[in-house]
Amino acid sequence: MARGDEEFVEFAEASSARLQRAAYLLTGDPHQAEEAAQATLVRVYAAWGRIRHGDPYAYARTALANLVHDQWRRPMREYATEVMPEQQAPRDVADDVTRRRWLISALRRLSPQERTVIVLRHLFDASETDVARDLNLPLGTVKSLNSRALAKLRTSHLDMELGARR
Amino acid sequence: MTDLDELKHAMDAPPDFEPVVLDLHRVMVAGRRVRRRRRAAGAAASGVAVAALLVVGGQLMSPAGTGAIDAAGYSAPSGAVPSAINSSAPGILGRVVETGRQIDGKQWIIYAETVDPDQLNLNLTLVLGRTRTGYINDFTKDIISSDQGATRMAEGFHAVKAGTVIDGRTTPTFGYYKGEPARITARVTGSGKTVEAHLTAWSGFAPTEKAQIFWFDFTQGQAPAQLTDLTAYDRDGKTLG
Repeated sequence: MARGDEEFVEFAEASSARLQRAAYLLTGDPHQAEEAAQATLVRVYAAWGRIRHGDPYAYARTALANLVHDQWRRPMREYATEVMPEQQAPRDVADDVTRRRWLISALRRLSPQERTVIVLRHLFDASETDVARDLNLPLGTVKSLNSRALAKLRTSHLDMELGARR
Repeated sequence: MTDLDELKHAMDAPPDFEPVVLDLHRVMVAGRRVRRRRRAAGAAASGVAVAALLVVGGQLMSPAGTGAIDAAGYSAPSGAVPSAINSSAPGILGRVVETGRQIDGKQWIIYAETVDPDQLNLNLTLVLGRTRTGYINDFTKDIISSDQGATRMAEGFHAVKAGTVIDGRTTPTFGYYKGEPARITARVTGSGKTVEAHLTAWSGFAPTEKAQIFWFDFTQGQAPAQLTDLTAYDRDGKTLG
């Protein structure tokens, strides 16, 4: 295997799980997530000669965001919240899995743009400037989307806490 | 643990989802195919660009057909936007159509995208965007248009979007016709006037993957005309499909 291919395999193995998780958060569907991550890696490999000495991770992040980008332009598709937790019993609230499940459910109720900004900013740890460049949005719009989305998530979180105490 | 930490933790390990081991061999085979085809198509790009410019120029000089074209304010393509065929930009396939129309210092452009060049029937998508520099990383996507289902390469009209106004920017009616029409016209609702579209030849990788990307003239700052009766004609003036 050529050195470039070896480097790509190393990169793909290291980034595959996170790309799939990001794709799952963006699409809400495990099968689509796998396909989106795979299509992202195809794009990365096709451009590998040019990007291998730069920041292939940033390229992959942008490619993934672009792959799901057109969903924004279509009539808004809310994800089926098939895993929305029932009213929480106090002991369940303390359970880590339940809390994570609740947060992911809350994430899915964000608008597609808000959700994408949250995933790029807080899963990939991209700066707001990088997110603006990835999504071709003004920096102010990204700041506003991020702030509004976090506020919504905090409200959801508060609702969960209050629900648990009732 | 702060709220933000909790969110990051949740996103890092979403419950009910387990990443799978991806088939990297398949990924690399598909990636090589994309590279090869970009190279092959890139070799033919310059000839296609010249032909497309002649098509657009010919329309401006002699708008054949039953109606008039409102070409006021139109400027011929500058050639500043490179064909994206041989670029490594994700997904862009075929030439990028320059409209010559500017808004906020950026030119309106139209191009096709796909996530898999072997499955154009399923995933060919048309994009109306803008660019200031002509470089791929400076493309803004404004409207993404595609048909539902797996007939995107069937003969006829596809991905047609009516002109509209988005954030104060007037956009043209545009789409693509799979096939090789010589003219495409539409009728303006109300006045009944027939207008003719600008056409640019587009091709994918296979010899059969030929289409005409079209757009109708518009005036920036004004609501676009409402068009109906979209019709394609062959070189003999016969109505297609």
